[in-house]
Order: sequence, then structure tokens, then C-alpha cells
Amino acid sequence: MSYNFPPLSIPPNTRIGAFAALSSKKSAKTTVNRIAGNEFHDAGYELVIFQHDDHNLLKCFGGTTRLELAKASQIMRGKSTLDLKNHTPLSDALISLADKTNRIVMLDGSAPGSERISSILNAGRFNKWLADRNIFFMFCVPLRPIQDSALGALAMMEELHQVMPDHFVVPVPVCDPDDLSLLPRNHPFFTVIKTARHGVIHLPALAEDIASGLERLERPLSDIADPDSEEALAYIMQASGHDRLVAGMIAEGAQQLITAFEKGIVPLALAPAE
Amino acid sequence: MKFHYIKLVMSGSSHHKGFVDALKAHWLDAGGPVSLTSFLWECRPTIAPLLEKGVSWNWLGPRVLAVFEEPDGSIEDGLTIADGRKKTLIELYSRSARRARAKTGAGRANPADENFRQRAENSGNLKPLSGQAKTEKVASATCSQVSDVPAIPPESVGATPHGTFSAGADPPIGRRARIRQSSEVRLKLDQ
Repeated sequence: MSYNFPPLSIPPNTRIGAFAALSSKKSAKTTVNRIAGNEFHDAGYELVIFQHDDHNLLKCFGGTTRLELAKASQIMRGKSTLDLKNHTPLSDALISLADKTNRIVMLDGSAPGSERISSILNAGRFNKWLADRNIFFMFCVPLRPIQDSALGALAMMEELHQVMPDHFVVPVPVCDPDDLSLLPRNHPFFTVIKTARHGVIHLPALAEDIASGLERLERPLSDIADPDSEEALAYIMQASGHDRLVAGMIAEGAQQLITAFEKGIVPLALAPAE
Repeated sequence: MKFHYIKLVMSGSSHHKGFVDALKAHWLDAGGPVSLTSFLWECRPTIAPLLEKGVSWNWLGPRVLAVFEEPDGSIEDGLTIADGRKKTLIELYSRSARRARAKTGAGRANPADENFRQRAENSGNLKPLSGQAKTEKVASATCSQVSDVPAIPPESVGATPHGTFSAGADPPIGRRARIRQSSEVRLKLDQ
């Protein structure tokens, strides 16, 4: 039996000025940011992107800035504010949202970075500063229906609810809903869904070879997914090393993610540019 | 949004049953699984009059949560709620009430919601409203300067133009329609 996720519930005309995918576990954060970045890019927004890990998967959507995290050895040597200093560009970008109404600041958090971001946002007092200007942060917390992932998501959500209570913390379950009937009713996955205050955005789980093929592609998902583009297919074949048929499946995987996310964020009323 | 009339004087299990039945009806009206915020929004016509009568969240809260978590379940009387969860419910409810006021316009707030807010503020369960959103420009909040353009690495090539494979001639709206259509075809094949 398929599970019915509560849909995303956000008041109309809400300005999402910042978006982040965060989790202390490995859980498709960058994939969620790629899909969201693709959506915002297609809708005509200017994206300013920050990331903790070193990769090129979001460069196609706009300028990216790598945020270094303080190493344990640095903190132990007394450089306790290094993380705050290193995140100053993020703070500056959030402040700029008051004047730049077509801008969205995106953060692709790493697992350790996700554990620190609540303290960083709290230090900057961004909960009230952004909400007072009717600019809202959407935090997406991806999770899979496994114990560790769900517990990590729950902890992340509780922290974000505490630090940014006026903003939107949205779990993103990545799974096949038909598989959830195998989970016990008290599984922490369901606790995460119930903890959601504004619904969830459900994304399908892709087959491993399709997902790993997508990770090798650095173009916008809409380009990769275009069913009419031979150039896109050729690019997928060249970048992934797969033949035409598997490349076609990878394109279909991108289509699945785009259409699922588009359906999931209907309340945001984004529309692709004409 | 339907209004499920309940005449309650708060004592006895009949009032528990009446309230729970109304909450379950609101769940059905909402069309099934919704977020907690949406559920509180739906239940406002039932909850607000009770708050106006002075019914405590200690009584309302556990029943609201129980129906939200198990809408098909049998909800027993005598439930309790942890302080933390009660505070969350109150905050989410007041947020939904604020949005209702914003939608209906200033000066037309539901009196029940206003009285609720006053009582909640007096009890210390709610922070006072901090006023309307500030519209004046802020030169600086916590930073010494506002960057007009935040630090963008010089090696950044900027955003890929839309429809790069078609040299910019393909608008996103057309491409998105093709993607949706292809996705539908694939779904049909999977069935």
C-alpha cells in the first residue's frame, strides 16, 4: 500500500529568499540542491550559491563560493570563531536579500557543515532579521527510510526548529512510497514526517547506477532531462561513459526528479521563464 | 473550510468525544494527510470558540495531537501533553491565526483569536507581536557592510544560459512541458 505524504503547505506569496539542504548524514543533500537550483534557475532567479564540499555540480546555476570549515586541530588551538569568519560571505549574501528581490541564496551543506550551521545562523540572528523583512529560509532535510538517516534528519529538524522557528523546515523523503509498508509503525522515518510543520517534498529513489550517472554530469538538470535533445544525450554518454540506452535512462531519471520536485513545491508558485 | 458546530461545557467524556469527532471531521475536510500547521488552520473554527471560553491548551493540545497522529484511531480521554509540545502547538496555532488576520485585513481579526493571544501573552506562553515587518532599509545588521554582490570567486563562469544545448533558443517553459510529457509516458510504461 502506498504511503500518503502530507504535501508542502506554505502561505501564498511567501518569498523564499534562501534555500539549504542540510543533514548530518549522507542523504542526497547536493542532489536536492541541484534539483532546487534547477527549478529556481528555470524560474529566472539569480542564484548565489555556497557549498562546504568541493564539487562542480552547482556551478551551472550561478557563482559558487566554497566555505571552509574549521578543522578540529584549529579549534583545539583556540581558533573558536574561525567557522563564523569563514561563513561571513554567507551572512553578507543573506543581508543582500533585502535589496535583491530576485536573488535566492543557496547553501549546499556538508554533513559536518550541517551540524554547525544552526549555531552560525543563530549567531547572526537571522531568524528575526529575515522574517521581519518577509524573507524566508527554506531548509530541506533529505532522509531515506533507514534508521540512521531518519534519526539524523530528526535531530537536524529539531535544531532548525529551535534556531529558525519562523522559517520553513521541510523533510525530503527520498524513497519509493510502496516500500514504506515494510517499516514498523514506530520507525523514526515516520516520526520525521509527523514532526514536519509544513508538509514534506517527496522525491523518488533512483536506481544506483542512474543516480551515480547523474552525479557525473555538471549541466543543469533541465538540459540533461530534455527528451528532444540529441546533444544532451551525447553529453550524457560522453560524461558518464555509458552507452545510448543507459544515457537515455539517466535522462529519464533527471525527468523524474524534476517533475517530482515541481509537483512538491506547487505552493511556491514558481513557473519556468518564457 | 467547514464549521463543525460543537456546544460544549467543558466537563465529562461526552465533551471529549464531541471535540475529537469534530477534529476528525476537520481532518477529512482537509483531504487527508496535511502538515500540523494546516491541520491547526482547518481546526480553527472549532478551537477558537473553546479558547474564547477559557479552555486550556492542556486539554485541547493532547486531543489535537492525538487526532493529527492517528486520525483513524480511538482517542482516549485523560490525555496529557508535554510542555514543549504544548508550546509548539500554541506557537503554530497563533501563526495560523496571524495569517488569517493578514488575509482578512487589519481590524477584522477574529475576536476569539485576539482574546487567545492576550491570555497567552499574559501567561507568558507567547512572545508579544514584535510589530509589522520593517520596510526601512537596513544599512548593516551584524556585518560592517552590506555587500551589493557577495563574494563570487573570480573563476566562476556564472550561470549556464537556459537551453544551452540549443544555443539559448529554447525557453525553459517549452522544455519543461516536454519533460513533463516524457515523464508521463514513462509512468504509463511502468504500470
